[in-house]
Amino acid sequence: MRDAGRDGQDDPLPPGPLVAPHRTERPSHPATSRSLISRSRITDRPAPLLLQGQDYFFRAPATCLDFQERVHGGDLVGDPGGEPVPCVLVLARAADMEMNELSLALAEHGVRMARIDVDRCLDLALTVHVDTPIIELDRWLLRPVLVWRRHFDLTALPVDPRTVAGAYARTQWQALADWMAHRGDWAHVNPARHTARLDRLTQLTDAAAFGLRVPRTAVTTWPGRNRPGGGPCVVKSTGHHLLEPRPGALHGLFPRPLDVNRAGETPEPAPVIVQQYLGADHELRVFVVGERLITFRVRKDDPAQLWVDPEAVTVDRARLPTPLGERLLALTRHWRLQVAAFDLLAVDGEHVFLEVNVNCDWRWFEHRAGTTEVSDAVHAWVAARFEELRYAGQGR
Amino acid sequence: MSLQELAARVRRGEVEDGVLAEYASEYARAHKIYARKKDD
Repeated sequence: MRDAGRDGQDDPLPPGPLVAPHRTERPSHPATSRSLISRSRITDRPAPLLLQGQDYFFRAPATCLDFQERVHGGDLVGDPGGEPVPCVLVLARAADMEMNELSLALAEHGVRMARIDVDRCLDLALTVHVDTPIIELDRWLLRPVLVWRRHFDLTALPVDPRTVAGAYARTQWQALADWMAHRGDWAHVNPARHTARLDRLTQLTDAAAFGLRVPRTAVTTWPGRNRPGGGPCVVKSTGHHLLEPRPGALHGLFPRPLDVNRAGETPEPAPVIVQQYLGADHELRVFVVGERLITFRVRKDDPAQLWVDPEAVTVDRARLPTPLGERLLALTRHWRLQVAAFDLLAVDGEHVFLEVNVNCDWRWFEHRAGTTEVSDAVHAWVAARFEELRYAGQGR
Repeated sequence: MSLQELAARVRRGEVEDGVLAEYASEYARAHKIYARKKDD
């Protein structure tokens, strides 16, 4: 296992081509057309702006650290036999420590949690019944009443998607995971039917509609020609903050100041967000758990410091102004989120919405602030929701 | 032993050998690493 941070020595991100080498055994197109695309459009251009200087690399291990899976797999607890066991079902990846901690916490509450990890599912014995809300997972018969999908990204499936077998495995798991995350007779945390399209740009327009200030923003393939707000700007990923070009190899794709000297006079190969830079006294990270808000003040020197130099960031608990909290809760209800995290800037006494993280991580903030409040709140909320659904007799 | 009792023993650090001790050791190591890491 490697530590997080700057060193990517054993698997550096190649700065060059964005596409894998063409491996077609028998060319189906004239060689000239292919070479035109690969040479003039991809390889002869500088690395995309957001990839330049990004040296964050992390190898996510696929080691199972789920307490309940280890306990049940090791036959350390008795099998009730016969009747399906009501459970919380988590679709994640092995290194999701928030979910590993949830497994232990739910065990303390006596709540069964089962796990399907995208990086450990190739040998999984799984049957999902369509006509009843029952699954068979290994040798256990389970009745999920609450399902939580987070970090179940098919890029982590340990296959080569350029092969037929790899592409096959990926598309089959994608279809199943998507269906399970939408299934109507199970309840869901942050239901995918509402959150699947909650991209960063939709978040901004919705937040503005709810009366929150947002930075001037453009999404563009030509960042060198865009200055929303007219002054300094930040470049951000339109999609995820982490790229996983090979299963388990995670490369950072973090916000950075827009350097017009680097942006150049040619379009980027992919769109990026260019956003007005606002000088802030600090940031707020506000966790929403059910109807509860837990706020942290974050002080950092630049937008990417959270990832590239986290030990230099100061985090402490803070109070949230009541009107702002009410707006965030209203947005949370609008988006049908139960567990999420808002990032806000504090600018001249006003708070500016940056984004909401649906698949949020809280343990780092807790570690830095010396608290377990978010973990405790999440565990209690999931346990309470499970009991509520379990005795309601169905999981809608 | 019930699921709750096993979890409580792990939480209290009362496992010294066997499958649970192995788990607790691996978990503690990962916990230290991931507590210093932000991904979202």
